[in-house]
Amino acid sequence: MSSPEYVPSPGRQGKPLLRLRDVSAEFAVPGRAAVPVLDGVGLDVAAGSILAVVGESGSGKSTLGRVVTGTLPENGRITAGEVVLGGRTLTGLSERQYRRVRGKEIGYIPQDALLGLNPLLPVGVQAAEPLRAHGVGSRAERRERVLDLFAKVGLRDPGRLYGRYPHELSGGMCQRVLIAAAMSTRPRLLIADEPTTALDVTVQRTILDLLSGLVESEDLAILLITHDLGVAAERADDIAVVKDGRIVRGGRTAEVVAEPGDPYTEDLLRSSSLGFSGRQAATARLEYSRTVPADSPVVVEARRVGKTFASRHGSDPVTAVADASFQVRRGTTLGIVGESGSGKTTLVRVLAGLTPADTGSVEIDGEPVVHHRRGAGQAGLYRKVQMVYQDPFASLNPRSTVRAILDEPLRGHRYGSARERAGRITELLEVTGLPAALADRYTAELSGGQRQRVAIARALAPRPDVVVLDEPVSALDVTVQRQILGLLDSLQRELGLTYVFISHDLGVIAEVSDEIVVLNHGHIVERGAALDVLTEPRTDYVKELLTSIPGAAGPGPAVLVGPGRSATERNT
Amino acid sequence: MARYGLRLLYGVIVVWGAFTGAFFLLYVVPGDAAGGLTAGADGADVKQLLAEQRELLGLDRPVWVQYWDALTGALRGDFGQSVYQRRPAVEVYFESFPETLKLAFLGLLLAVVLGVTLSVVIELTNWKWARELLISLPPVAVSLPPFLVGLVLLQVFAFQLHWIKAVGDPGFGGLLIASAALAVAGGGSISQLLTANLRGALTSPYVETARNWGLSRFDVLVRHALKNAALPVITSLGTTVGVMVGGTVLTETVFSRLGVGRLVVDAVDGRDMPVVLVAVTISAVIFVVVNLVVDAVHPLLDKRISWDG
Repeated sequence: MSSPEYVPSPGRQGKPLLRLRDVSAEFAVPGRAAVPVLDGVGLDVAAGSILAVVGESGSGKSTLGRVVTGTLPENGRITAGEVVLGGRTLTGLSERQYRRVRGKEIGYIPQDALLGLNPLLPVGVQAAEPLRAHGVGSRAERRERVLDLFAKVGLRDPGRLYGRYPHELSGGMCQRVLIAAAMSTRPRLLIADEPTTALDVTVQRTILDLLSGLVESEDLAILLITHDLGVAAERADDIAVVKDGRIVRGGRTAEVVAEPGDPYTEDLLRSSSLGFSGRQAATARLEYSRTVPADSPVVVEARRVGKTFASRHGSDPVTAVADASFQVRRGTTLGIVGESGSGKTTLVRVLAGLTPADTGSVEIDGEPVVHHRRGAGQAGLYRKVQMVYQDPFASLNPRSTVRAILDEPLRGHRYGSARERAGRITELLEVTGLPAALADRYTAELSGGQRQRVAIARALAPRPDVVVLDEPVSALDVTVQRQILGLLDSLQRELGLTYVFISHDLGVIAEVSDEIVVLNHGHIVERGAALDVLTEPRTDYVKELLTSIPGAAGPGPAVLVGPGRSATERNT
Repeated sequence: MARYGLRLLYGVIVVWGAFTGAFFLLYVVPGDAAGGLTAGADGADVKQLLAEQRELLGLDRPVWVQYWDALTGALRGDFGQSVYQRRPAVEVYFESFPETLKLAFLGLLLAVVLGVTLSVVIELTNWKWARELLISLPPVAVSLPPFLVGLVLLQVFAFQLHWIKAVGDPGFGGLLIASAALAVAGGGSISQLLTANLRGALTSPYVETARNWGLSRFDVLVRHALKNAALPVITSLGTTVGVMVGGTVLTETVFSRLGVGRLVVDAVDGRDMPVVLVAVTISAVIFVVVNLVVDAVHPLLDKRISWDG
């Protein structure tokens, strides 16, 4: 399989920079047959273009990236096919030879920028690592080049930033540092593995703008690995949709979006934020909103809630929530939207009595919420307000069975005899769409979607009035997201539940909310009926949030405010 | 810095606790120094002799008075006279202290060097069986009794190779072999912890990034993973030092070296309260200081940690 060091590339003109031909890969599993992860994948990436590989978790899209960078885990191996970069076959290279390609000709941008940098080294030193590894320039020259690049990727004051540590930088800044590092050796190909997933939408947009700019100015090719078809459609020239290690649909972006021609791709398109229309989403929700009587009682009432955290290093204290007032009527959903650090989580913790407010008050069913006073008649509150958290992998004990998890709140709230509790557990599994046989399984055996259903069942166990949903679908694949949102919707209709729904994703908020509160740096910047906020935003901040939704703005005129629909709009 | 001040206060409490514990333990153990001094005497006046010596040493006073005297004396740096040597206990102690300090310090150094090297080699080894073999070394090193390690080393280097003298070798070779005996257990525990941490560090995203920058396996390991994996190990050094202090007693006995370890064993045997109290107090101070230094060093290594707020 080994090939000579330098193959003269016959007529590079018109040939793609990166070519994968019939690549198959598998992972060895001890005691079992090897698991195939890629099956005959073929794709081309031309210089100066972006190819997006789109798929859900477990589809093999990350393995595809690793096949190119030659960093498959120890138990993984390429069984067939070849990877060719600029005329040179990469498959079969020794580790030593591959190291000269990695970081030199292929740049790499990891998913989580904050975790992707070594916490103990200054960012400037790290950005120079590719140059150091490939023996480019002297120490001073490397520093010079990094400072140049920092300025180029839009980092202000590069000289001061050079000696900073990752934790002193925001996620967006860290991602810029990583892009500078990847670009330092002037690679021809960039592999970006979910480069913006961990970032706020507005930051996501600026990072994607930066990458698109590099493609133009440096004639760079980018292999963009993403779960978000919205991002892919907005940024990529070509799209390859991956499912179970196979490319189920590939082609020019416009073609794939216009004619998916494949049920899985259609599903992804439907679940994506592509062609998102705030008006449409809110109008669809309005059908439900109208069924709630206007004189429906107020269940949650927050009056001028404020919470400040003392800060480190003697700087000003951080205002997490300032002067927040709102009401939620029975059977409706209040959507709270804001970016990371906007104070949305602090606000709901105050609602649930988990964090004391500095000022203001909260009432649930007319009863004041007092922080941590279970003895003083707060047991009722803890029953009435239940929470569902973002990450079902973290919020459920992997060493407990589903039955034990659902039994716990029932026992905690003294719900009848063992027989009655068992009956209630069966009932809970049924309403959340889980098979009864699941009761005695451990949560570690369940999929993400099943786990989130268990988390919802646990919240419903003591028959709460209010369910606080803290980013309940953010950690899930888009198609699973859709199922969970559907479940929440039908539960609300059947049980008359009141939701407080928190999300950083305005697209999701638009779909589920009757009223919307927009938080920015702890302040409520907009508040009102969902349709009004989404179609006639009063502040620039909300307008920016709306246009930052990937795929929503599109290349054409904005489709959000006006009544018309753009050609790419396929949301149903 | 307020928190650091609090740690300092805890440290003082630990030292006081060690002092008090040692005092009362030695007090409740049957026998006292007067018995030691009069051992071997016989005849009718033994009882009287004992009483005389007791009075001379002040052992006939109520225990609280004795304790108070010892404590206030210790605060002034005066632990009293060694019963047998008729010299200040502090003087007796510091005579043998340098010997033990050398031993413990070299032992700690060797432990760190051996432990870190072994962990790095384990991670760089490709052969599966060689790797498995190397991984099994640290647990074995930890579970070997120190006196056994000492005896084996003595057998090999003194009796077989004749590199060192079997009894109290004064040269550097003797010191090195003795500290190696001391270092085996410490090095094993350092390597165990470090290997586990390296495993974690090597699967973290920043290591993935470094690999993709084209860094060699050695560079990835040493420049990126090792420092992160070493942070908990540095914390554990605080307790390793404690183990070292205890280990010197056995090592000094096996290698017949005249150090603090031997001194303490003899002092406990003879119920030489002042010497025991000096030794226990200073060991406690060393332990506390090392842990305070470890705490103070952490923010310098990891900029995410700070002492305020």
